[in-house]
Amino acid sequence: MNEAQMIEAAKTDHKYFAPLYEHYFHQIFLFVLKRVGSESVCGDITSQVFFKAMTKIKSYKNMGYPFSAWLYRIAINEVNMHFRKSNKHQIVEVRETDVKVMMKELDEVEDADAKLQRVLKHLGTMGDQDQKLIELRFFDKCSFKEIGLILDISEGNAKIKTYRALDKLKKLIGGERV
Amino acid sequence: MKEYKLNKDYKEPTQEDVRKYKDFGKLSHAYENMTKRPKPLYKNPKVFLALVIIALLAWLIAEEFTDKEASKEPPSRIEEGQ
Repeated sequence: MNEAQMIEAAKTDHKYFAPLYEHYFHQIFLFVLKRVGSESVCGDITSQVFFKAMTKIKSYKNMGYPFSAWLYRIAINEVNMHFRKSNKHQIVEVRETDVKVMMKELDEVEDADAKLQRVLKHLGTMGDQDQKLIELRFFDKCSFKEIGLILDISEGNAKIKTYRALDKLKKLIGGERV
Repeated sequence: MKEYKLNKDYKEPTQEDVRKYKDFGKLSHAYENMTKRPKPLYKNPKVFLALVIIALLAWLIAEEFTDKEASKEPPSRIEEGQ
């Protein structure tokens, strides 16, 4: 049974959702964990993501995008809802290697710790949409096609907006040097 | 506002760590509870009895009114002529 068939089966009976749950749980767990930090909170949110997916699967239409992108979209909404409800300050943990990849894209040659910290500090001051674009592209390694589906924009628009966000970040770093 | 924290020695949770939070049975049960059709009211014996009593009272009241209306009816023309 391929993925499309699994999805169609899950639409007829929720018990057929099990293989999709098994296949994507780990991936979604890690995606949420980066955004919430705590494993127990992450476990609750991930369960909520799959519960929502299960209840909404009948409305899911296969548009040629990976199913994971649809789950990421639900996960982002659930994480946002968690922080809105709890009124807590969101801390996103970022791997050093991921920041270094982003630094290359920003044409920043220096990658000393202090520099990386400063770049992340500037990223924290950016708008919500810009942050999401950078997170998805560099920290979650999503394709522009996936980013488009997650943020409900076209693939081309996702690319343009991501590079605009990077330009903004570059200017913020440049402004610091002046 | 979001804060980004640099994690130098990021250790991804293992399959074992993540498995602790995985429970399809629980998820399936929650889904069934949410989508379960509510039991019809008349299947509850107490509610059924109350519905029978209400129906009986309504019938008695309706009968009473019909009797009163019948007694108030004007006499027929033949009776008037006599």
